[in-house]
Formats: sequence, structure tokens, C-alpha cells
Amino acid sequence: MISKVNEVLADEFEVEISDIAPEANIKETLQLDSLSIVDMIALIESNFGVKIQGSEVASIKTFADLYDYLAARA
Amino acid sequence: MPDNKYDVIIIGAGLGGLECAFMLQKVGMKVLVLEADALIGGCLQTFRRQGHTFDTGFHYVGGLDQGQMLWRLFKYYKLLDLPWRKMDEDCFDEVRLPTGSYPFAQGYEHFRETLTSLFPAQADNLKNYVALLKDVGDNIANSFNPRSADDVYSQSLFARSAHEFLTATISDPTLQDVLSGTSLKMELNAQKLPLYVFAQINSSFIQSAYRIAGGGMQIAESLRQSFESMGGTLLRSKRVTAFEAADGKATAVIVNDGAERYEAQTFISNAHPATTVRLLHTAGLVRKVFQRRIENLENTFGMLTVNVALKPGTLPYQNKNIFAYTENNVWSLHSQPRNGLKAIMISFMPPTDGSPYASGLDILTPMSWDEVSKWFGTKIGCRGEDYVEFKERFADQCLAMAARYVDGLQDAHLAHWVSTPLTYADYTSTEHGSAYGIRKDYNATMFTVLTPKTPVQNVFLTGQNLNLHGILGTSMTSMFTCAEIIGMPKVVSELNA
Repeated sequence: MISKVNEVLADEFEVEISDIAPEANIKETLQLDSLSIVDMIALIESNFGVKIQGSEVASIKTFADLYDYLAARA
Repeated sequence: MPDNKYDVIIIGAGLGGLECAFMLQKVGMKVLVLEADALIGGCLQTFRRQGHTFDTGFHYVGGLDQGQMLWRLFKYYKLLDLPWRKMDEDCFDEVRLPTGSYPFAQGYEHFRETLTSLFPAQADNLKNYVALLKDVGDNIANSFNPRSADDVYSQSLFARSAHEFLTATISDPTLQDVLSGTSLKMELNAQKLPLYVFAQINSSFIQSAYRIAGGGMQIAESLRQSFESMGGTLLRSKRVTAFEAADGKATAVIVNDGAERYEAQTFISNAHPATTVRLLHTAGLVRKVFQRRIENLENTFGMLTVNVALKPGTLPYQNKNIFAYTENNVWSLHSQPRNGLKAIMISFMPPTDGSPYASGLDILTPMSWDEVSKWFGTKIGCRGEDYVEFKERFADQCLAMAARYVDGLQDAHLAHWVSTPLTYADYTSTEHGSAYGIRKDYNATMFTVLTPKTPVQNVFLTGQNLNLHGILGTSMTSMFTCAEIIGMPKVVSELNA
């Protein structure tokens, strides 16, 4: 699943897949602002069927946090 | 500034584009409006056949009595002198169900009393229902309060279900149908329709309801004249086909595939957000993820419209709309596959010559894009015989159904013309011929209720796809879009000047 998540994020956010590492900061790597965080939530929901709750977005800081979040709910 | 450089370029001369053009030109900016079509007006376009002027997207407005919200906005835009005609105070909308005829009266109290006399056991429930509508209507001006950038009240109603509110407040199923019965002017989707959309639109029409004699295009023409008289420039048949970009900002637009180029500091798009975002992505201004999210948003249904010309002096003008249903349970109409014609709206055209007779009327019924999409890509007038048959079959059904509610319609019928969501898509560049734009979903307001902002700091959106559809919704959104550029305090001082 991790490679699928990385692939989708790199493709849709138009960043290099090599920049995506488990310990890397999501916001910095994907260059997220308040509008594009909505993009990420929508993307995760449509690709992996997991709805990230608005209140939980802040706790997902690194890609590893995101993988854990998805693994616990997918 | 050289001739092809502007402060603001507005893409699209629909109601939202023209209103933004009016305000920004008025506060001293140099504004250019580029309209792709030969005609301005977007959903306000009218057309003429055999001496009759027919409307396409526009039929009536709410909240135009002195002091009400649309009155305040239209006063600013100098639109109050148009030939507005107040509809019947005791029955501006008539809902016809198999169980009977139910009038909508103007004014919250008058409305409540009229329906309470028909549903006495629901007196308290109607009180609660009308109280919420009035709250929503009263609150609309708070959106302009610069100190509360977030209108928490409206946002909370966007996240609530209209259907759940209705069924929790009103226990009589027939009264639920009656209260929803004039809502062909939105999409009654029980799983998605936000309470805010349902309540704000119903509220504004119950406040007061008006038609315009001679067609809705006069609104667009009046705005254009005001805009041009203040020094603004509007060009027709100029389709924006690309953006130019530098340093993450838009710098210019290319028109008609390179024929012309116009520069500006700021851009507003009145085109469908999906169209706009496609252009922004091609210019490298937004990422694929944003483009896909906006493109994947669903659009509401379109309309099949039968425009009927009447023999002069034969059919009395009725100063009301009729919303007729072949069966109760009006919320189920859109969730089931079509099985014959189930709902129509009949709208009379106000006489322009003071005659007591109607010169024409429109019959509308919701139609989804799926029903006409197989003819997508064909040209107007050359879509094939099967399309003509399809349209005429619906027209015959609409006319037959309307004749049950309008005495003398069959004898008065002179000629008719039929349009579908396909026609609408071709003439107004509306995605999927949608009547009310992007479908809002109370479960997903974060995704479906768009703001004027895009990821590009000098490109903004406007029009009915954003906050709320219809004339009032679009006019409110124009204010929000202008506020992004000149600030809300300036917008408010303009409005109150």
C-alpha cells in the first residue's frame, strides 16, 4: 500500500517520488496550503476509501503518520 | 496603461461576471470583460421567435421588496428601474399534487397563515418551519459583516440535511411535499441537498416574488450599459483559450487560440470552475490534484423547456407559477429512473403591453445529462431525427400535462420550441447543461462549496457554481469575489453608498 500511496501523491501533486520518504514532512514535501490540504483529503478518500477527519489532519505530520492512519482504517 | 493591459480581466459575461465588472470599474479599476459567445448574459440569455421573447434560465426572483436583500443589491447595480412585476401576493406559486392545490403566499406570516388554514393540525410545526426560514433570510446580510469573516451560522446550515430538517419539523407527509413543491428551482436530493440552499432560496421567494416583463436579458443589458458608461470594456466572441504565467501568478490570457492577448494584474473567471481550472493546469498554475478534484464535482440536473407562443387574446395571463406533480413524494422524483413525466413548472410571460392576456408561457421539467449525452458533440439544428423525436415526445407530454392545469391551453397554442440540457450547454457553456451548477453536498461541504479563491493568488472564481445558485446566490457571490480583491469593508461601503 505504501508504494501505491506514494505513487498517487507524487503523480497528483506533481512532485518527485524520490522526495517522498517515511520521515519527510507531508506539508513541506507536497507544498500544502489550506486549499491543497483539502485536495489531499479528497484524493485519499477517492483512492483509498478513507475519510480523514478535519480534526485529525493536524496529527498527520509525516508520510509514516499517513501510512499508519490508512493502515488502521483501510 | 497600454490598451491591452488591465487591472482586472473577467472571463465570461454572465450575471456574476457583469456584477463584478460593474463594482470593480465603479471603484476605479480598469476592467475588461471577455465573453466567448456572441451574446452576453449566460443563463440570462433570451431568444426571439415569431415576435415572442423567451427566457432560457431565468424565470422569477425573490427578495426584491424595498429593503430586502436582492433589492439592496439591485439598487446598487441600478437594476430597480427594469419592468419588474410583483407576482400574486396570495399565490405567487401554486403547488398541484394529486391531493389538491396549495398556494404559496408572499410574506412569512401570510405564507404561514395560508398553509395553516389548510393544515390546521400542523400549526405549531409551520411556525417552527417559517421561523427557521426567516432566521436564514435575516442572517444573509451578516455575510457582509467584515468582523465575522466566517459566517458560522450559514456554514452550519450548509452541513445540515434539508430533507432531515423538513421531515423532523413537519410530520404531515403531504405538507412536506407542499413545502418542497416549488423546489424545481433546486435539486431535491435527500442524500445531498444542504439545508442552507433549501432554506435561503425558499425564504427569499416567500419574502417577495417578482417577474420581469420582456425577459431576463434586460438585467445583463442594463449591467453592460452601466459598465460601459463608466469606461469599462466588454468584448464578445472572445473565448479565452489559455493563461500565461510567471512566478506562480497569471499574467495574461490568450484569446481564440492566439489571435489576441490581454494582460492584467488580477483575473476573475465566471466560467464553470472545471473549465477555468483546466486552463490553469495547462498553464502550470495549479496541480493535477486540484484540477481533478474540481473536475470530479458533480453538476445538478438540467431542464427540458417547452417555450409556447400563444394566439393573441386567448389565454388570460396568470401572475403565478404552477408546479404540478403526477404523484406525491416529490423528493423521490430525482432518485428514481425516469418513468414518464412526473413534474412540470409552468411560468407565464408577463404581458409587455398591459394586456390581460398572456403572449406565451414556458413549461419546464428536470432532465439529466445522461438522457441527452448520446447526442453530445452534434451541432445545433443537426442532431438527427431521433433527437427531434425525443424532444417532441417530451414536448407533447409537457403540453398535455400543462393543459390539465391551465384551462384553454390547447386551443390557445400557436407554436412551440423545445430545448434540452444539450441546447443549454451549447448556448451558455454550462457544464452538462446544468441548471444550477455544481451539486452541493451537506456531507462534504469542504469539497462541494467552493470559495472565490483558487490556488493561484491572483485568479478568482465567481458565478452560481460557488456559494448559492440563482439570481440572489450569484449576486451574493459577486460581492464575495469582489471582497477578495478590494476588501469586504470597501464592498460594504459601496453597497451602502
